[in-house]
Amino acid sequence: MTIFSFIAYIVLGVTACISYYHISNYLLDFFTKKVFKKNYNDSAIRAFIFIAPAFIVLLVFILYPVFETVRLSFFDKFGREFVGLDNYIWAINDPQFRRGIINNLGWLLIVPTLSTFFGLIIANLADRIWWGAIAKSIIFMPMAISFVGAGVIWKFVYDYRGPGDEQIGFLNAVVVFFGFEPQAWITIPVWNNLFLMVIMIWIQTGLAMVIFSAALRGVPKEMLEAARIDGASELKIFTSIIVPYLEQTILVIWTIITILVLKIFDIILAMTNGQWQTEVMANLMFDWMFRGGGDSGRGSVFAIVIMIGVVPIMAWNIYKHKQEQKI
Amino acid sequence: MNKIFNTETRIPYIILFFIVLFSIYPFFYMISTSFMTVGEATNQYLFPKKIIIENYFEVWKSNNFQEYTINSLIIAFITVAGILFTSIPAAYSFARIDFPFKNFIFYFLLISLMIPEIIMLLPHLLIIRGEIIPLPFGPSWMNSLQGLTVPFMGNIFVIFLLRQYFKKIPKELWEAARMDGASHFYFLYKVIIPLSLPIIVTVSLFSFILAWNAFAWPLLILTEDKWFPVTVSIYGFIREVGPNFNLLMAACVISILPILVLYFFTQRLFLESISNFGLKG
Repeated sequence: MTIFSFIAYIVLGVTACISYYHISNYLLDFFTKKVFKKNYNDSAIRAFIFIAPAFIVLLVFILYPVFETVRLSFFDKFGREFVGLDNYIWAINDPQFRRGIINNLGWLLIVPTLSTFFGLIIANLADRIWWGAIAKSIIFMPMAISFVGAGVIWKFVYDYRGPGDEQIGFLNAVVVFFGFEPQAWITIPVWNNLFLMVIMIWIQTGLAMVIFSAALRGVPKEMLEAARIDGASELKIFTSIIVPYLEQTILVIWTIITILVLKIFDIILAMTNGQWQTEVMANLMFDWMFRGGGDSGRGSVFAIVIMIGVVPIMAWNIYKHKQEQKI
Repeated sequence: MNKIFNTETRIPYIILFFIVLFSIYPFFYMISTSFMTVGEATNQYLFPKKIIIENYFEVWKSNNFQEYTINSLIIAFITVAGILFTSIPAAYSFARIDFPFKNFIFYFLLISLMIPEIIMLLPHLLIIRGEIIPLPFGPSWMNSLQGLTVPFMGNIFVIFLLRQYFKKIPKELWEAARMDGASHFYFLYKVIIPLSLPIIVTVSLFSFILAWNAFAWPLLILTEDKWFPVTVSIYGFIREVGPNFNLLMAACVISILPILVLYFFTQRLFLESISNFGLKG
């Protein structure tokens, strides 16, 4: 594609967008003012014109896919014949599926917990020192890079060469320095999952920290002062005042990170591609749907399982919202 | 001042210092390695003896990397433009106009924000192939710019952030504008958008990062390399490059650079907006 056709596309697109709003606005004005002789400025039609573009995209690319996934999970390989629960029964008996479930549960327990924990601690410490702002920027930095990029960098942290060779991976270099045997970290079953989780924690701690450090400003200063005058230790203040005060925020962050973890895929793909017992749901889904598998039915079962994982979080959020409305 | 030198309070800061080191180490490693020779990279030197910028030129010229970077930029820009086009009016309607089922629709959208998008890959693929609905601009969007960008042009999180901001703008402005006979459209265009530039910059940056970092979707719909973005090419590069870590790391730096530059320029705005989201819940 030449740069000219690209510019032509842009001009065309922008014109189309602007004219959509302009023309619809003009028509609406024309009809309400000239035809009905009334000024319906707050009219619902106008709102729907504004919402329509977003709503159409969301309808086609979010709502429809959810239903389609549910449907496909009850159909065969090509999505043509109804097979009932066959795909689900197959999944339950599949060792990789079980391994994926266990791994995903591990991810769900460990990553949000540790990210939230570190985020809270760092936010609490960083706001008190002169280099806190710098520290926060640095800790937030991993958030900006792609999971694949992170995977590439960390691949070299965990890299392993044969026992006689020079170890180029950072972790092995450290291990050798202290006189231990180098290990092929990402190939040791069970533990390798933890090493992969470290990457995700590395990325998400920044997010948690940023949100916490804003929330911390809301903690009443008088309360902290009073506690200090009464001789409470910093640790005591942290556990008895700050943590209860931030309960709401902690739950929000927990939700965000849990949802991110449920769809964890890029890191696994870049690091191990699910070998050495590091399979997770999203990667299995990708395999069964698009690579080798080519089975939309079985692949959709994995998607459904991921979706089911979100349901409790959704339910809790709706519940919380309803409670807030009551007050 | 006394407190800092007090041993009881010093330990947490030492821990913090190590966490910072831990956070920055991979970046440091990446940048440092990208300036090394192959030999230095293989031997895990901490710093290169002599900074070799040629690595960057080599990567930039080889493997169509140049084109991929430009592809990524184009994809990201178009996605951002699309998101702004759909989200600003939608957010405005949710914030300012009363219409039937408003809250119902909004909370419905908010809930769907929680569905991990990765499970939608297959249905998206079916749509892009034109098997579900007839598509404008061609029978299939595989290997095309439309296919890469259009599915991401509706973003609920962006609508939500914008709505929160628009709600804070005083109602009196609208009353005054209406007296002068302005419609919602002109009010949005002349008053709301100029007043909301900070948040618009933030959501643009946010969408830009999302689009730039997209991986699974491009990997799926691109069977030829014409529109390859940087993320996909890096993934291919891992397997291709063999022992030349210095080149791989240079490629990584190039792929991360636009994001880091953007991030550093808009850091404060970005952090503040994200934090506000967290507080609102």
